[in-house]
Amino acid sequence: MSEIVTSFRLIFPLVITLVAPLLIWLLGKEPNKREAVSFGAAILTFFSVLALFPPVFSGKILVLQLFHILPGIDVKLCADGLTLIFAFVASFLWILATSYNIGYMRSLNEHAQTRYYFCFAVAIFGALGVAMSANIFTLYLFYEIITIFTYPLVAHHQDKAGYDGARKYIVYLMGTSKLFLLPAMILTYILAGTLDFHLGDMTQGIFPANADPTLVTITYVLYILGIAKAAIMPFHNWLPSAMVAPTPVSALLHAVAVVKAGVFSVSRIILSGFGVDLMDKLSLGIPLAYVAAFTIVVASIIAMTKDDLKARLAYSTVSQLSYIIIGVAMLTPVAVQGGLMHIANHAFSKITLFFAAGAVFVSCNLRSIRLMSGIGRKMPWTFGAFAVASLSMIGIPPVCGFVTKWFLINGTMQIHQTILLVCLLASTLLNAAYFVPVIYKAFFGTPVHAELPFDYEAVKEAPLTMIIPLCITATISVVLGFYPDPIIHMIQLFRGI
Amino acid sequence: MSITASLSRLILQAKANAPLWKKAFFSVLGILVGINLFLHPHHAHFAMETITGFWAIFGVCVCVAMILVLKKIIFILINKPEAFYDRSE
Repeated sequence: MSEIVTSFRLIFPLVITLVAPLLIWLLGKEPNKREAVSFGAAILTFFSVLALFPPVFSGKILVLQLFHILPGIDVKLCADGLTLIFAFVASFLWILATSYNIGYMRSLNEHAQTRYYFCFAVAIFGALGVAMSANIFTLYLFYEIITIFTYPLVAHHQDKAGYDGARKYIVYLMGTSKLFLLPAMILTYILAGTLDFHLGDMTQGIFPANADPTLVTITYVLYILGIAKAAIMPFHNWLPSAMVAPTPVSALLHAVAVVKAGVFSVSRIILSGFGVDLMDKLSLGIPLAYVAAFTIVVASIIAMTKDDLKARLAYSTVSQLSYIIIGVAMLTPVAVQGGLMHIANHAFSKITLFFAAGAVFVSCNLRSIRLMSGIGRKMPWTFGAFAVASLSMIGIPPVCGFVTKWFLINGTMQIHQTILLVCLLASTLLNAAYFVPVIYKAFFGTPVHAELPFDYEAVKEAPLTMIIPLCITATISVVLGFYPDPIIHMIQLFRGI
Repeated sequence: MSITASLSRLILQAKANAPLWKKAFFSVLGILVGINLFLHPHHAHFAMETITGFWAIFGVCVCVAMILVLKKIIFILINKPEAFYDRSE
């Protein structure tokens, strides 16, 4: 059992990400200073998250109570191994996304850039808040902050498609959280008398042994339905609709911050709220694993039918998020490890894919995969990174996605779930079926000159501020494939080993 | 960006040399089966694994089966014209 200590270090990532948007707002008239603040805040946030590593790595769990609202209801922060994975990924990728943002927004001369950077920073504040929540109330609070402040980002273009996509986005996310998540939280409070997570041991939860099994099951179902950010079918449709947003938003928020906040919340509630023992006793894990397996396969099949690269990536995200859910739902240490690792693995690989999609859009205004024939020869760095990240999504060694699949498949065999095993293997084939043709066409295809709205010969790579981040994230995807130990160590710390 | 240009050239060359690559990959597979004559698994998971070339035969069979299933059944079922699913968008 880990030692729980109070630490003021927890406040810094949140203070920085709260002050940064205000400064961005004040410096709205001076774009260079505004972007400098974004960059500076991202770097400072990253270092403030790094400062949490030494104490957590020495076996401590950090907690900090901010406000007391009602008996048993506090705004309270914590940092354990699971926190570190999500907070590290979100804060590190914010630095790269800021660089990419500058290249993208300036190249396309986008409007309302101050609002854009403001909301972007607040969304990161929300994501870090979710990562560091020590109880369900705090988690809920930050979860809703993310929803509210990403709405203007989805509706950024302020045209009909933008408003339609954003409406669907807010209705799905707010609707489910108010209808299901809020009642689930109230039920938890009634049943358990507390909303504080049980930290340091994933086998134990917060529900007392004599809690009514039916009510606990209802609470559990409400949680799963209420966290639509995890994009489990049938509440996945907001994600493809959110693709009307500018590509950096899709990249950092709809591949990392927002959706990961969803799967993180599900993981946290299952592992630190219910606990593996209770989940096992009430057989709550396997049904969710089956729903996740269904999502994985069906979303992959839908992805194959999409010619719009961002739409294809969106369905791929829906599918990949369920890898995390399936791992956690299988409840064995190996499977949970595979699932939680995928928070980091998927983040680095998927952000690379979105960055590449955005780079193609900036360079030649293309979103249709069919028209990308031969473009890879003009943009070898972009498509090289795209190819590496695709290998990760498919699960081919040595890229990091393989490590996830290895643990997940081991997990299915440990609990003798052949159907889940077949779903995972089938999804690998499906992933290959929708990613490999993109790479093949881009590198080896013949350009469709007649239909291209630009001169093929004049196509060149996007600005370096965009290319460097996507090469870095692709490289990290490979590094994590060779050396997954730090992530594994964080998960072991979370499990109290 | 001269590196970018030379990368593009490399990709085109790789495409032109496709038959050569094919031969190279087949040779590697052949060599691996050859090595299997001398190297045997020490901790075989099941009896068949000790047969020389078992995994090679297994690989070929599964590969052929997958191609047949995909081309003769799945392809016919799900093949649609290029922009079929984008009609409403």
